[in-house]
Amino acid sequence: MTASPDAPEAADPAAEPAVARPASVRGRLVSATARRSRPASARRRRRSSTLVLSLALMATGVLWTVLAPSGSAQDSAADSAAVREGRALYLQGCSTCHGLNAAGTVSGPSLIGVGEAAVDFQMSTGRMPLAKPGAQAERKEPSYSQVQIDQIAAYIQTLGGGIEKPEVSEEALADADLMFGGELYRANCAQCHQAAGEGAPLTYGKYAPALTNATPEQIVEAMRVGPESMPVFAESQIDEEGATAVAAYILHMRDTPSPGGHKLGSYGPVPEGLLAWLVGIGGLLGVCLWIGARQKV
Amino acid sequence: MTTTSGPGAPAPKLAKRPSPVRKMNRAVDERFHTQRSLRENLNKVFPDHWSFMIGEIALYSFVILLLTGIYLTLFFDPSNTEIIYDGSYVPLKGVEMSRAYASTLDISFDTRAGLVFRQIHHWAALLFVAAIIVHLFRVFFTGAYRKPREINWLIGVGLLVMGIFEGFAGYSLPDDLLSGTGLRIASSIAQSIPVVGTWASFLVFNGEWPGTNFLPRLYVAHILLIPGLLLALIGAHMGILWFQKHTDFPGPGKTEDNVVGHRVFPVFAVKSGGFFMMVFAMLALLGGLAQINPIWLFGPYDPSKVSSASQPDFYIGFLDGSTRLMPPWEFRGLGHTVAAVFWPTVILPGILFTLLALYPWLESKFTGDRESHNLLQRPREAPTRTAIGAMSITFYVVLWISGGNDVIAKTFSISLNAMTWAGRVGIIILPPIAYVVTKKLCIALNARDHEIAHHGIETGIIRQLPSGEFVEDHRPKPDPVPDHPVVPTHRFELSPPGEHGNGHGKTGVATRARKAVTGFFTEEKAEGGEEPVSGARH
Amino acid sequence: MSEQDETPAGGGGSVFDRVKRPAGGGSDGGSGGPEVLGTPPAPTDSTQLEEHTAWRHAGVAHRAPRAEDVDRRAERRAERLIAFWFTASVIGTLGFIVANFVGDKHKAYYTPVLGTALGLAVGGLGIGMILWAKRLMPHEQAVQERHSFKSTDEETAVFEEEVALGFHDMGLGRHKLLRRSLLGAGAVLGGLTVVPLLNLTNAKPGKKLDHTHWVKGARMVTGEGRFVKLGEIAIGGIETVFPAVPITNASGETEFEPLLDLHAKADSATILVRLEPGINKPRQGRDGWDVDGLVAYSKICSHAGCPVSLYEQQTHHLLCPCHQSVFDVPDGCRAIFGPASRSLPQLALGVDDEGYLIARDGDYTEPIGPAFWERS
Repeated sequence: MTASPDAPEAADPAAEPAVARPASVRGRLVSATARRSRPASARRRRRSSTLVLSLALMATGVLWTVLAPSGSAQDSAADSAAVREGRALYLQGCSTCHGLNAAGTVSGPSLIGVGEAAVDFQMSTGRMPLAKPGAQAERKEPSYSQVQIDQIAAYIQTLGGGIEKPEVSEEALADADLMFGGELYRANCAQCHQAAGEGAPLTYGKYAPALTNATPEQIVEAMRVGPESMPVFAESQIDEEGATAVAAYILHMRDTPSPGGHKLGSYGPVPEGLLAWLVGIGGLLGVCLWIGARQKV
Repeated sequence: MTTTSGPGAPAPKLAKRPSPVRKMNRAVDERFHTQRSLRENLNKVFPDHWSFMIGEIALYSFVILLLTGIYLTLFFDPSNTEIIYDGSYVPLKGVEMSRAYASTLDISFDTRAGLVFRQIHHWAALLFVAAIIVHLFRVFFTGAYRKPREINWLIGVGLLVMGIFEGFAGYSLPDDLLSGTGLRIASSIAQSIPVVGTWASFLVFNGEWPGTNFLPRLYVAHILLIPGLLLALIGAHMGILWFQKHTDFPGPGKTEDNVVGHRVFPVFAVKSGGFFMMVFAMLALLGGLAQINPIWLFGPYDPSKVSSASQPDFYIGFLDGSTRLMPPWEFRGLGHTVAAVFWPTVILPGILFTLLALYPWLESKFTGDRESHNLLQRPREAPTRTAIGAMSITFYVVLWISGGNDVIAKTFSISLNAMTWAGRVGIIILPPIAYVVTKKLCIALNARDHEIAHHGIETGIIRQLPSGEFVEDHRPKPDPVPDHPVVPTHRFELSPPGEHGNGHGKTGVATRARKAVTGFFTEEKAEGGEEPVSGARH
Repeated sequence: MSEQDETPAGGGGSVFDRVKRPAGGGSDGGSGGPEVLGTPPAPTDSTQLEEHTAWRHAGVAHRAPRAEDVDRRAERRAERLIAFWFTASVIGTLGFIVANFVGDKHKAYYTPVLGTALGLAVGGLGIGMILWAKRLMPHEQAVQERHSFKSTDEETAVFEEEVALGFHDMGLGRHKLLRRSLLGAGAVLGGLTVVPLLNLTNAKPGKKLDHTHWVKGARMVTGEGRFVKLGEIAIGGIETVFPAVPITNASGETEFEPLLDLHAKADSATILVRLEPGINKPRQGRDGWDVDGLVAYSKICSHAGCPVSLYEQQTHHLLCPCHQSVFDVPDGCRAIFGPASRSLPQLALGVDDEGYLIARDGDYTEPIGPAFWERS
C-alpha cells in the first residue's frame, strides 16, 4: 500500500479511458444508454470537485514532504483540531506498532502515504487495532468511534497523502446500475469473495472475508487501497461510477430475500448436499422406520 | 379384494350381476388370459423391514424427476444462441447470455410454479443418487448381492454411474458460471485421456472448448439418452427383483425357501403408495423452502470468470476431492503428455467402479461360496466384508470431504493447505484403520453373541465359590424375539467349512496367492469361532 | 419394535400349511389353535384354486391385536385421524392452486408457499395412507415359497441339444466360405458404428490447442471493452484482458478489434499483474517480457482449465478456486502447491506508441491450459 509516482490517482481522472464497444461483446454494457441518461453534469460536478480536492490534498502532501525536514509536523501542517486530536489518538493507540512517526516498526508497517481511505477501512471494520496476530486481521466491532477514526485518518493523511476516503452517497447507490455492478462484481470480485459475497479461503489461513457487514464506503475503500491480500482496483480500472455500482450490487444481493426459500448460506453445492443427506435422506429414513415400526399395544 | 377386519363383516361373495369393473376384467381376460398371473402377482409376498424401503426412495425420486423434468422441458430452451436478457431479474437485465441461461432465469422468475419445480427437480436429483448410495450400503452390508442376485447388483452399479452422469448433465444445462466451470473441467478430463483424449474432447463438445452448439447435444443426453437407459435399467432391476423375490433377514419361521411378509395387495401397495407420497412431500418441502442452485447469482458462463467455492453436486464431490488431493504428477516424454488430472478422474473412478461392479464375483471366488442365498446376514456375521465396506466408505468420505475442503476451511477457519495435506494423509492412513477397527468390532460382537448363545446373559450377580474364586451368574438366553434377527443357529459364513484351503495339490503361485487372499477373507472364522475363555458357570 | 410371541417359532410344517382365519370373530368362525391376524384368501371351496395359491398365512410371529382390532372406538378414532390427513391433503392442493394463480410470482413468498402447499397435498395423502395401512388394514404374515431357479438336468440337456441341432442345420461348420464372409461382413458393418461418432464434429483438433487468439501487436482489452494503458493498473492490482487484434479498415487505418466471444475468452484470457518494482525474477530468455512491473500470464489453469484468479497481492500468489493450485507470480508463475504441475504460460508484454499495452511478440510460446496427449 505504498503510493508510487505513477499510481493511478496521479492520472487525470476526468479523461475518459479509451473504450471500444464492439458488437460481439458478451456481457457488454447493453444498458449503457440507461446509465448515460442520467444528467452528466452531476457526475461532472462530482468529478471536478473530487479533482480539486485531490489536487489540493496532493499539493498538501507534496508540500509537507518538501517543507517538513524533521519531526516538527505539529507546527507545519497540523493546523486543524482534528489532525491534532488524531495525532494524540495515534500516539496513544497505534504508535506502539506503527512507530511514533508512523514510519513503521518490526511489528507494524509504515503508514506514511497509505492515505485516509486505508485508515478508515482498517479501523471502521475493527481490523485495527489488531486483536491478535494471525494470518489475517479479523473483522470485529470497531474500537474507536467514527469521529475518532476520522481524526486519526486526517492525521495519517497529512503524512505523505495517499488515497482519500471515498464518499458513497445514498442517491448514488440508488441511482447505480445493478447490471453494471453485477458484471464488474462477477469479473473482479466473485473469484475471491464468492458469487454471493460469502467469502472464501485463500492460501495458508488467509481468506477473502464475507461481505455480509461491509458498508458501501468500506467496499469502495477496499477496492481502492487493496487491504492485506486484496489486489488494488484503481479508479483508472473501475471508475467511481463502477465502484458505486459494485457496492450497490453487493447490497442488493445481500438485502434481497431469496426467491427460492432459505439461502443455505448461498454457498452452493456443499451445503445443498449436506441438507440433502441430513434432512432429505435422514427424514425419509425416519419415515421408513415409522412405516416399518410395529405399534405397541 | 373385498376384505375387512371389522367384526361381523359379511364374507365377500361374487356378485350375481357383474359390475362394470368386473366386466372389464373379464373382457381383458378373454383376450389375454390374465386372471392367474394377476392373482399370483397381487399375492406376491414382500418381507417387512424398514431398510428394504431405501431403494424405493431412489425409485420415487426418479418418478418425481420425470414429472418435474417434463414440466421444465416445456419452458427450457437448450440453445447456445446469445441473446440479451430482458426478464424480470433486474441485476441481469441487459446482459448478453445464452438462451439456455435466459430460459432458466425465466423458469425461475417468470414462470408460474417454475422455480418450485426447478428446485424440486434439483433436490430430487440429489436424493436419487443419495438414496442409491444408501441402498447400496444396505445391500452390501447384508450380503444381499450374493448368488442369485449378482446381476441385479451389477445393474444397480450401472444405475449409480448413470445417475451420476445424468445429474452432472442436468447441473451443466443452465449454462451458468457453475455449469460452465464444471463442463470446462470435464473437457479437460476428456482431453487428458492418452492417445484419444483430444479427439474425444473435440467430438463431445464439437470443437475446441467451449465447443459449438454443445447444449442441444447435452440436452438430448439429459432428457432422452440417459433417462431412457435409466428407465430400462430400473425396469430390469425391478423385474429381476420381482422374479427372484426379495431377500429377508433370518428370523422365526424364515428359511432359505420362503418369504414372510405382506402381500402386494392390499397392505404393501397402500404402504408403498403412502411412502411415494412422503418422498414427494419431502422433495416439495425442500423445493419450496430451501434454495438450491441460485443460478442468477452465478451469472452467465464466461470462460474467464469463476466464483470461489465452485463445487460440483455432492455425487461428483469425491472426484473433485481426489483431483484436489492429487500430487502434481504430469508425465511428459516422447513428445506426449499425460495430464495430472487423468489419474484421479479417469483411472481412480475406473478402478473403484470396476471393483464395485465385480465385488459379488470376487467375494464368491475368494470364499468359494457358490451357494444361492435368500437370507441376509447381519454385518457382524461377515467381518471381512463389513470391514472392506467400512474401509471403502472411509476412502470415499475422505475424498468427499476434500471436495468441499475450501468451504470447510472457510467455515471453520482452517488453513486451506492444511486441509489438503490432511486429506492427502487421511486418504492413506484412515481406510486401513477403519478396516482393522471394524473387523475387530465385528469379531468382538460375534464373540459376545457366541457367549450369550452358549453361556447366557450376565446377571451382574457375583458369587464367591468355596475355592475363593469369584464368578458371575449367567441366566440363559431368552427365546428369540420374533422378527428381530438374533444369532442364527446356523452361521452364514462366507466360506462353507472345508471348502477353502483345499488346493487339490496344486502349489502354483496363483494358487498360493488365492489361498492367501482367501485366508484374508475367512480368517475371522478362526477367531470368531474360538471358545471364549470365561469363568462363567455352565 | 417389539411384539408378542404367542407361538414358539418354527412350529413345524403343519403350521405353515394351515390357513388362518382372521381374529376378532370373522363370520366364518375361528378355527382351533393359535390365531393370526390376517386376511384369508377370497373364500372359495375350489381346491383347484388353492393349488395356485402361492402364499399361506403362517403361524409365525404373532402379535397381539391392536387397539383398533378390538376396540370399535379406537377404530373410529384411527379412521377420523386418517380422514383428517386426507382433508389436509385437499387443503394443500387447493392452497397450491390458489397460490399458483393468485400469488405474485415475483414475491419472495411465492415459491415457499407453493412448496409448502404441495408438501401438504402429497404429504397429507402419504401420512393418511400409511396410517390406514398400519392401523386399519389387517396385519398379515403371509408366507410364500421360493423355488430354485435352476432348470432340471433334463430340460437343460434337451435345450442344448436342440440349439446344437439348429446350428448344425445352419451349417456354419461345414461352409467355411460362408462363415468367413459372414464374419467379415459383420466386422466391417460393426466398424461402421464409428462413422456417426466421427461425424459428431467437423472441427478436427489439428494444432488448435497449441494456439490462442493473441497476435503480434494485439492490444489488451478488458471484458468491458476498455483498452488497457500503461499506468492504469496500480501496484498490487490485476486486470483480466483479451486480445484486440489490429485490422486495417477501408480507409487504410489500423483499428483494433476486441475478441470477446466465448472461444477467444476460453483460450486467450490473460491476467495482468502489477508487481512492486524489482521483485519480478524473469525466467531465462524472458528478460523484457515485463513492462514497468506488469507481467502477463495465461489465466487458464495449466491443470484443469479454470480461470486462475485469486490473487494475493502481498504474497504474490495466484490461487485457482477449482482445485487449489497455487502459482508464484514473480517466479514465472511457477506451480508451488496443489495438483497443477506446470507454470502458467507467460505472454511477452509491450507498449505501443499511444501508450497501450500490447502483446509484443504475438502468441504464447507454449500451449495454454490443461495438458493433452499431443502436447510435447
